[in-house]
Amino acid sequence: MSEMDDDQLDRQVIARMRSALDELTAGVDDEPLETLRPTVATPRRRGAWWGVAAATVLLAGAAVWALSTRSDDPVASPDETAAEPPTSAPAVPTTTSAASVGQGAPTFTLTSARLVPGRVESNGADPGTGPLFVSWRIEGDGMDGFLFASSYDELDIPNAQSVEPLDPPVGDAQLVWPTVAEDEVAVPWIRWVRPEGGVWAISSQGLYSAVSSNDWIDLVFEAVPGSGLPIVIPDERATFLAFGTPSTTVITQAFTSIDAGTVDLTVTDGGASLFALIGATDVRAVTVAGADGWLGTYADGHVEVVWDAAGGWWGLLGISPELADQADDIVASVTRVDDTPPASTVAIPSAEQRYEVVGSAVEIADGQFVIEVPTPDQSVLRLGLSGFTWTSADIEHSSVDGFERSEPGVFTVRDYADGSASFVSVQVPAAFGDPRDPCVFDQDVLPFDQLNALDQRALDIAGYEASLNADGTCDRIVLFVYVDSPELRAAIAPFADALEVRPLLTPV
Amino acid sequence: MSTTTFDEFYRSYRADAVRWAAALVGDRAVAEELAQDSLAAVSGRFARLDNPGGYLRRVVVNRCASWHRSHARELRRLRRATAGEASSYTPATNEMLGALASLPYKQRAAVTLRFWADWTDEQIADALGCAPASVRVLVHRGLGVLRTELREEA
Repeated sequence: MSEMDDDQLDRQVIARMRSALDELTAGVDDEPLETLRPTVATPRRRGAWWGVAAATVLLAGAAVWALSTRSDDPVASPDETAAEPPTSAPAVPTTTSAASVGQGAPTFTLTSARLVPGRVESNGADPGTGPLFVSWRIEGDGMDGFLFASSYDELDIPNAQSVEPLDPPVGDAQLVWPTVAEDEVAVPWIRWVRPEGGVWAISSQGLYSAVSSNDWIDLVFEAVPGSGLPIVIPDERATFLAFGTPSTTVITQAFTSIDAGTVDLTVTDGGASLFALIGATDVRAVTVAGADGWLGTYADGHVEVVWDAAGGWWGLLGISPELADQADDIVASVTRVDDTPPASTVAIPSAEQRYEVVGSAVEIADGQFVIEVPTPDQSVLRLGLSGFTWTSADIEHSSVDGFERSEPGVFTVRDYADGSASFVSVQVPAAFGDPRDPCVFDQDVLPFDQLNALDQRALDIAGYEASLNADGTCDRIVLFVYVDSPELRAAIAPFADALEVRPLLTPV
Repeated sequence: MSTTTFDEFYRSYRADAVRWAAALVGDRAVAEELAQDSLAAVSGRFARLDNPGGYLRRVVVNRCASWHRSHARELRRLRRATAGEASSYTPATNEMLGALASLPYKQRAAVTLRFWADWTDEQIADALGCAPASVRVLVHRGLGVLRTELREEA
């Protein structure tokens, strides 16, 4: 495809994007100005149940677990907010106490020395309305899997490669084969329009391919409305597992492996937690922190684990493909730490395992000091620095728009071993070079193709940066790697003269 | 220090905040919640801000990033129930929203804020916490992904 074609396509893409976003936001200007309000208690629009709003973001780094209201954000009751006239902003801002989000939720952590805990984020939403979810385990007569049902007032068929009419005992039904991404498994689901009103969507794991599709569909069509549960399957092969509404609380902590890969640890009260298993190519039972759970493996290589955390709470682990072969060890490392700050139970690296961390900057975010470390997937790993103050180290910093941020540099994080990572010293300033244009478009002079062809994860490559010469060429690239290694040096040998390698993690 | 009142600021920026958040999360209802949340965050510091508009931009981008981090798996899980969600938008809009959803967050932010919200590279860089040059790289990569999808459709 020629460059001109790319330009034309770019213009088309931008025009289509503008049109789509215009449609998405149509009428925003015409809406009456709403009052600032507590986000957790706000009535939600029907049908937007999956858009659980971020009510409060909590930051917790390697050693921080904070569940406190920001001192500069006064709290007002929902009633106070509701009393405000609907066409003006309030004189007194209102936010929701962070402590009210996730109250009573069990707390878990991963006790693995090679997984660095990241920030804890706790998002809440009002219970709202929306579908109801029911999950069953199915065993017997050659069937071994799960059924998942959800009940809606209305439900269109949004995205299907085929829709086949079925013959249910009551109402109307279709078997829907969805359109999915290349690395996902297409799992058929049944849309059943009920004679009493509403629509059921019923999907499965391990059933539609384990036996003939008729057996699975026949089982689904045994379902009837219940008095306690919205949907009941009166079949001895079906064991009820869970029932619930959409999540009102989602608490997530990301762990980043110092090798490669991430693990997301989530606790939620959502009734659809077991729906995580839809699309898994293989599911097996596991024990997680002493509770029953299931581990699903997916076509793209990632792993998800769901377990009953009791009291209406569910635990979920999302394990990236790089760590899939360690899934059992990660599951075994899940530890319940209720009433105890998780930082105190994080596996403590020995003195030999301490690291120097090259961060792009130190900043205050939501009242906590964090140091940023770039990761290969373009996200940023934020390590909390408890006990740090600007005066505890001689470091240049400035305040811009209310955010205090240091100059870029190389920083050393020490004393991680006592569970309270603390900042000690600035080693080298301006490690990330100047902000001149990287010349990724100068394909004639750069070895970017070679760089992109490398297995960046296997080689611990975090990213690269280049700067432009006065004549428009680019002859030097800074390659950021987590750990330098002979394998890396061998891989970059053909163009090593153009690279400067900077390790981000250096054993102390 | 800002010379306007928060009330004036709120009236001026509320719709923009919803638009920015909508571009970043692709869901109008969620965007309204995140915009409200962001404006609440601004209100708490308003009197001390030299550039409350810039602060709001960064808060919206950060809050939307947090929302993506904590809800990406939740969204995927729930959408597995029906392999999608019913939408009242046109097919072309649904396709574009789907394509935007496939972008890494920073690429999505760079492309939508640059070409739809008309932010400058410097404003985007400030909000994302990166260099303006990095914004141009993110835009280049994001457009490349969207362009590929458009080619495949054609």
